[in-house]
Formats: sequence, C-alpha cells, structure tokens
Amino acid sequence: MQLTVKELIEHNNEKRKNLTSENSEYYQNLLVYIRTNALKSERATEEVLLEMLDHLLEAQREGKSAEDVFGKTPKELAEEIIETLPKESFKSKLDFILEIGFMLFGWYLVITGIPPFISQEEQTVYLGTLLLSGFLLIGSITTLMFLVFGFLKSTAFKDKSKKNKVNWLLVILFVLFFIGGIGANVMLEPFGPSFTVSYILPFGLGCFFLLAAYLFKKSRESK
Amino acid sequence: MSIRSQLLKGILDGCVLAIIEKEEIYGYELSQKLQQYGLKDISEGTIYPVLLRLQKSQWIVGTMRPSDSGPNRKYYSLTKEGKENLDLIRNEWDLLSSPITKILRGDEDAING
Repeated sequence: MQLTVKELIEHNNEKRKNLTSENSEYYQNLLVYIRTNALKSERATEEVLLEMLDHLLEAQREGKSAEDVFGKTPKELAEEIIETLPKESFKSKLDFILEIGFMLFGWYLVITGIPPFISQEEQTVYLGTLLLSGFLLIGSITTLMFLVFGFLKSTAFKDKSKKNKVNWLLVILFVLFFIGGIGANVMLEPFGPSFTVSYILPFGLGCFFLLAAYLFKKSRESK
Repeated sequence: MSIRSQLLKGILDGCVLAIIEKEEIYGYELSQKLQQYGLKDISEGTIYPVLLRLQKSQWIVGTMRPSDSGPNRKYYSLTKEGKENLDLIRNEWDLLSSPITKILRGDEDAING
C-alpha cells in the first residue's frame, strides 16, 4: 500500500502534534530546512521526514530528546540529508513550474477579466506591452520565491545572537520587476502589434488556466 | 566533526548493510542495533543519510508496510547488488583492519622482512 505525497504530509502534520514542545521545535526546524530545498524529489523528502518523525516519537517514549537522537548540529545533518536525497525528475519539475504558472496567470486573467466581462466591451491587446509586463511579472514572482525560500532556510536554525540576513539584492530585484511589470501596463504608451479580443476571452482563458493548474496539483499530490 | 565520526564515516555503510542482511529492519530498530553493538556515540540521526545513500545506489530497498504494533513503517532489505557490495566491503575490511591495528599500536615486530 503506497501512500501519496499528500497523505505523507497529512500523516506528518497529525503525528507532529504528539511531540513535546521542545522536540517539536527542533524537528520543525529540521523539516523547514529540508523542505525548502525544492529541487529534490518531493516524495523521497516527505518519506524520510516522516521516517525521522516516527523515529523521534519512538525515542521520545523512552525519554530521549530530539538532540539525543539527531545530535547537536541539526544543520549539518539536514545538509547531509539534502545532499543524499534523489533529484526531482525533469518532468516533475516542469509540471510544478507549469502548475504555478497556470495558477498565477489564471488568477491574473480572471481578476483583470472581470470588468470587461461585466461591461461586455471588446478588449484591445498590445502584444509588446503584454509580453514586456508578462516577463517582468514572472521575474518578480521568481525572485519572490527565492526570497521566501531563502528566508525560511535562514531562520530554521537561526543563531539568536545574530540578526537575520535578508538578501537585499533580491528584495531590490523583486521591487524593480514588480513595479516594472505593473508600470509597463499603466505608464507606458501601448506598443507592438495590437488586436481585439472578445470580452469573454480574458476571463474564460483565466478560468481555463485555473482548471489546468488544479489538474496539475491533483496529479502531483496523487503521486 | 569528531575524530570518531570521521573515522566511522567510510565504514558505517558496511555496518548498516551487514545489519540489514540479517533481517528486514526499520530505521529506529537499526539505530538501536548499532548502539547495542557498542556504537554509542554516534547520533541516531546519522543513519538516515546512510540509508538514503544506500537506496540511491540501489544496494537496499525500502518498503512501507504496517508493523506488528500498528503504524506504517519503512522496512529495508538488501538487494542482490547490496549483498555483492557487502561481501566486497567485508573483504576490504579484513585486508585493512589487521595492518592498520598494528601500525596504530606501533607494533614493529609485525613488519615482514
């Protein structure tokens, strides 16, 4: 009987509740640090995390602490585990990127598609503006993801005496991309070849993208 | 890293393989076995990178199944390749261990003319 990735995560969430608060803090740091390495097989990652949680629970019943079990240098152990985890297959990585892409553009299209959908006015699309702002927004989302992952990773085993280092270069890049992406729509004169589309299209396409994202998510979770 | 864990690093894979060879075993049990043999100083967590590495090389396989006491556990068993490599490790260790012991003890009588 093979558990799906989603079930593995659910088991983990459920079982974690049985940890003492001290052990829970130690384990969760380990978990966040290992999970934020997105390029490794999600299934193998969740399997080993659940295995280590089971181990800790069994040790806890015998009065051992997380530090007794996993040592005084959890970061070293986490690094070693990440290093030995199998890589995610190219197809899974591509599926995940498509899922995120469909979801973001789906929401974007649905939200921006509501006013024309209500007013039933045909829309003029300028290809140049569309592509420019599209690329900039993708750039801003990519940097935002790197920022969030980097932040989670750096706080997992934070040395309380040190201040958290924020990667300011990434923050600046994110802000620039984001402002650029929005600005390209609002501030610049529309440019590039233009064509008109029906008032239904943006909203409809958005819904279609969201459906596609949902299907990708389902298939990912059922692996 | 302590001297002990540095020394142990290369040979721990062999120890884990040898224990799995005897019986199918899950993580917690494996760490207890290692401790019972006297490897008390290594933290139990160090077996997980080892288990992952051995699975990657396909020397062992893990299967999830319910345990006697209820919850699902991942039990490890040796593959044919794992068994072959364990035999290799055993041979190498036999060849290395005796000269190294003599050298470290400074036992000069052991040098063959």
